[in-house]
Amino acid sequence: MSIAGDVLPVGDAAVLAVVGDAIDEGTAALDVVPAYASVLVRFDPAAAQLAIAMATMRGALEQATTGPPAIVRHIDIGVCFSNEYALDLEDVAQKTELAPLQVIEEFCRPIYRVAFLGFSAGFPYLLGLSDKLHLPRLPTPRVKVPAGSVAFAAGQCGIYPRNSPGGWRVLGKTGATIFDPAKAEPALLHPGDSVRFHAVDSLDQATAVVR
Amino acid sequence: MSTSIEIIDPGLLSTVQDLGRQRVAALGVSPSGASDWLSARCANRLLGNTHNAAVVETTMTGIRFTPRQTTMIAITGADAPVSVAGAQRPTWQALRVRAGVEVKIGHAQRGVRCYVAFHGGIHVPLVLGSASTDVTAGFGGAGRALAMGDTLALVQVERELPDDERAIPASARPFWRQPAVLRVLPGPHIARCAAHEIETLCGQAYRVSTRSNRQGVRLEGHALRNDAGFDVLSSGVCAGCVQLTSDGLPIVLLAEHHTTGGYAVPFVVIAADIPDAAQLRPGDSVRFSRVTLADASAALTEKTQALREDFDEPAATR
Repeated sequence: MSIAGDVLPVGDAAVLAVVGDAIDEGTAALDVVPAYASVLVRFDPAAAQLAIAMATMRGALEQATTGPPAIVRHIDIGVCFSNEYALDLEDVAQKTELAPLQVIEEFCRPIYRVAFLGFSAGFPYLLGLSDKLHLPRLPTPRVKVPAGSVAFAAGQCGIYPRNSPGGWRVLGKTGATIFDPAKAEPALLHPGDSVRFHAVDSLDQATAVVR
Repeated sequence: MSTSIEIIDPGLLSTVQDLGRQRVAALGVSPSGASDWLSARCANRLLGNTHNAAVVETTMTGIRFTPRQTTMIAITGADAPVSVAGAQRPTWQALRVRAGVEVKIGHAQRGVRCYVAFHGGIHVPLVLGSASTDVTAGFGGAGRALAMGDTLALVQVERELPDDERAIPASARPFWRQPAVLRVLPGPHIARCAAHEIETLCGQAYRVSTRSNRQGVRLEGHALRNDAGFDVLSSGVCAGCVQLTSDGLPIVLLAEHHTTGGYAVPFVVIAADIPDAAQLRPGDSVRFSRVTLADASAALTEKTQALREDFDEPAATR
């Protein structure tokens, strides 16, 4: 099935194609940024023109088709939910009227899908969060969320690859390396991957297994 | 023997930057790179370096460093006093610096960021294809902001040190005006703004917030109020995007921006004016001015003219 979409200008040096994820990268393209329902293509305005970029993207949209990704990887990620890492577990339990153990169970139940990587290097936006865990972002973001923190907010779920500010609700921590720029494959998770969390007793057991 | 540079005092924030990382945004990796790409390219141009050679980007308070071997440098960007071995020297000009003498860039008088290019360029291991420091992600360049005592190796080049201290003509350097004017084109979410909101955005002079950094310039002023808010489904962004945050005030994204954002982008600063955005200081006054795509293209041609000209004219004859 072909994709009905729209191509919008982003100033003079980028275009945004809304809907779709299978775009040919033109030679003038400097970068391609997929998100939930759009693809941004950045180019050198001295080498290409907006009108041509938009026409190219429209052509690509017309030819693009929807469907499941060709290869789906499954990644199991161990998460330690002990008190020192579960910064918001008590609060989430209170707000959702669940017991902390039920929150963990509810969180580990779904098979999540990686929508895209964004916010910071390697940060995965995961879809599939249980309806019982729908809470908004923290009213005041934390100045420092520890690396490996597994967190959710506003219907999304993610893992902080390194210490950074953040406003999502932290339930636990994984010891898996989420992003390492020195590796040939820097990011643990890629768009389209399916992910499942399971509870482990200690951080050194909280690893990732790619199946 | 290869040439190296010793950092004596890195000032507020000095980092190694080239023109940024390409083709890794899908990993959530910011392009990073020189915030004022034009000044960085001009500095390299003065030394005959490749346009993407790694330079040092300073912030507000300048830097002090000493080359261990005689080399050529060029300083561009913000308007700041420069001295070599205690004697005042010009910016936007190639300078010969003898081994062991101290180069000092003082407090910026206008603008924020100076760029120091070295003959051959700075040699650092490339991370994801670039020498740029991503301060937020903690990789690239020296792996962090430069610190006192750091040593930077230079790329060894075959060609001799040029002996002329050529300069970029004053007409091709930034001219500092208040309020600064950033020319904008429509962004993907311009339809989210009503006509009177667009008028509010373009009709006022904003003040640059102290909460600005390499990720973006935050502006303060008359906020837009919209009951529906300005949140959108997260999508890719780029430098120059003018995001409307939930408080109704704009942020102009700079080189080290997040790869995606969930705020509406009604306007995007044209590529030619991103260098001007990168040089805005807290307290500066700035306006947005709507232009056409043809204006944007002409502006880019005009601003990059200095990069195409041959500087065979030594400074002494100017």
